Amino acid sequence: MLTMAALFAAVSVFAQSSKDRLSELEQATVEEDTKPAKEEKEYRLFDVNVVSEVGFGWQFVKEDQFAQGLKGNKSSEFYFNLLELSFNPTKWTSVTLGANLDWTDYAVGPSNYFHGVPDGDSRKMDLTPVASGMNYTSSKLHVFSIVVPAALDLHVGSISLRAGAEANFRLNSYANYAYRDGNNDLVTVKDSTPTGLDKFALDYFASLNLGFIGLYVKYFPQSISPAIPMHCFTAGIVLNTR
Amino acid sequence: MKRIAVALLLSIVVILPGQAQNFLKGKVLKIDMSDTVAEKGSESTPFTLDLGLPIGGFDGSKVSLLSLERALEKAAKDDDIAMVYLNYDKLSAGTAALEELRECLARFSAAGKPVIAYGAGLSNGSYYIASVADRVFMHPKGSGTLNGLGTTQFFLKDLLDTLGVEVQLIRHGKFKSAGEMYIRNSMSPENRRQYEELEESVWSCMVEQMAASRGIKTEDLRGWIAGLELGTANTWMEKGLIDGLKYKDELEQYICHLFGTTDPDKVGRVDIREYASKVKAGSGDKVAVLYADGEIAREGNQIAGEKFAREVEKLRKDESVKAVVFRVNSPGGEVVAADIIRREIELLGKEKPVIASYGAYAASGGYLISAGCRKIIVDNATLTGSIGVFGMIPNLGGAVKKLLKVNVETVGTDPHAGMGNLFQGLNEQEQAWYQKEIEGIYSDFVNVVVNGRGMTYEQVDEIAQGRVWSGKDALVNGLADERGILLDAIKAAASEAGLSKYKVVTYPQQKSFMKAMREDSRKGKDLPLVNTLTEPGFKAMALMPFVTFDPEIAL
Repeated sequence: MLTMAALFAAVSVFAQSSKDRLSELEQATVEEDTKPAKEEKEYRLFDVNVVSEVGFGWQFVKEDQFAQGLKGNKSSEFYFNLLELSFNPTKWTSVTLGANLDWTDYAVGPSNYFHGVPDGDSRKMDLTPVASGMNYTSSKLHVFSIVVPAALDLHVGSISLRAGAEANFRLNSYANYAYRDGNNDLVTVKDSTPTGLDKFALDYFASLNLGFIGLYVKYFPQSISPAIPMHCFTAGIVLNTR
Repeated sequence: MKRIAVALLLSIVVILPGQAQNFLKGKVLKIDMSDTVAEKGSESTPFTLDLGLPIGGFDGSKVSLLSLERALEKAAKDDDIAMVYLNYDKLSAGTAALEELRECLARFSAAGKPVIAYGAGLSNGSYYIASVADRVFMHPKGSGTLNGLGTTQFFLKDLLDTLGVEVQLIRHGKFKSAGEMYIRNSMSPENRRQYEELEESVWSCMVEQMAASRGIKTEDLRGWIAGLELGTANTWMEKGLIDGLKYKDELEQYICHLFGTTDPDKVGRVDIREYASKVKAGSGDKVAVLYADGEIAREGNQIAGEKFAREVEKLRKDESVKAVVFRVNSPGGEVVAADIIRREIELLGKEKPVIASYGAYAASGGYLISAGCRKIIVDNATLTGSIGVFGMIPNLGGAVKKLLKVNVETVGTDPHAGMGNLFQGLNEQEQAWYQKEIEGIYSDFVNVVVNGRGMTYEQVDEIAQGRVWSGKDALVNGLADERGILLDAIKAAASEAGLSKYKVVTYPQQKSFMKAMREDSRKGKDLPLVNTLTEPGFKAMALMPFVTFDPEIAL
């Protein structure tokens, strides 16, 4: 009996003509809708975005390298996306290629600092122990790179997951250190020794976004430079305008 | 009995609450009839890369009928599409295209999804398509009328006589009216009868469909049309031909109401051109849609005989193509070119199923090239038949003498050396020769139809004589098999080939702008005009017979 009722109901609903349905809807009461509309992104097969992402993160090192003294909470990264091209084979997936500008600082201390040391006829950057008696404060390695990420995106509604690899082209790097002098004034010294960083590095990254905000992680399988054997991973916050 | 009653009661309990909250969910699919609907859609533009990908998105100038039909078919099953909104102003489509779109909208509506039509001006074509909608609204100050179909023809005999130009028309088929404009000052009785019956056939179909959609009697509607009783929006409303008068903002609110909201931003919309661009072609073996769109000639940009035949040959040799829909939209053209194509279609038909689907015209040469197809599917409004041949020789001798004071004389080795010369007409013997040629071509044409349609010579001859038939009448007299739209022809072709899954690919395939430029620069041949101005070319043109139907029935 219940089956018959359900069958009859189903047939009645689905057999309803569009005219009958319209007549019913025209009679229905609709209350004033004050809730703002959700912005739905238009689906396009190809998409181009400019300055679609800004990220800020902190560097961490693998535990066995803590002796190197990389200070996670002072080592930071800031990047923003210049241009992003995405191919969207479906409404929920994308393959993206981008170009980011990236500024990364590696901070070390308190027992080591970035300092140029003799290397034959020239000098090279190294992590050297702080001289005793030196009221050393901090030392940072500043790196500016153009980063080309290639990623696969999965997005459902306002949640998106992105993962991929990035090619880092290090265009400029230098180190500095700071200490307090006899008058307790803070002195910053920029060391002009070539940092010896590899011009190219690869990292892997992933991010999870909810709406315009998300979290990201990055991992560099290679060390920063042959002289500075630190493998870092970065975790941070990303804001996006997609 | 008791159990049935309880079951019914229970089902009502289940249905009623569900129905009350059954607002539309999804998007509005917008169709703007001012966008030109073409057979093939947009040609390659300067912005089309060799990859075939357009830069900057969809070219909105023209959209193909096939893509619209496939879009509506998909939309009927797509949960993301809730309804169709049709703007019927500034209509830009022919009768047959409208008939096919109307059919697609009817199928969409039959899937339980509403179609709303709106505009400010109604005419034959726009009301024909709008009337299929579940609700037809009009701007309160809108107007328009239905006045039936008509053809306007011009006759140039008096003008040509004044100029001193004589035209000799050699034809077979008392209804073969192409060329009459040069030799008469009015319609021949046969031509008049032909057009009256043709227009009545097409129009009566249209009126019946419009009346049926609105639930009114056909006789009543014909009476209003004949009495010019339709004009302002109120008159349409009084007759029950539309459902309401609304301003644009009121219509917006009405549509929002259907979606259970008062905020227009909460009602998603998608244009059918954009939606159509995302409809996938399918997967698996191919069903080719081969377009023969335009006039048939030896060379040129429309249906060029040899060039088109090579495309057909490619299809025959392409093993991934399992079936072909031959979409014909041609009033015909030059005999030899038409026969070259017919032969290739015949060879193709021996290896794969070929289903002919007719658009606005498949007349004369357009019918010749497709008569041998396995099945012919037409619209009611298709103009077909016109099985007849004519040739036309202008004699400009009198004109150049009268207007330019130029006298022309011809000297030749043989009595008929000057035959085909545009400055002297055909003498009696030459006319008889030409008539015999025309009769021969006519006989060949009829035999093509006999073989293709499985009819006798006498049966075909009776309905030939150059007479044009509507698709509806062609179904009765045996020139066509079924009524259907292009999508139906594709399904029929797939079925003939035993395909349950297939990919639809159109031919000839559009070249990108860069490829077309490269090919044209490599050809380096003379323009057709240069060819025809040379002596041998001129003569060949002058004596060339045609299988063409002309002119057009206006909406």
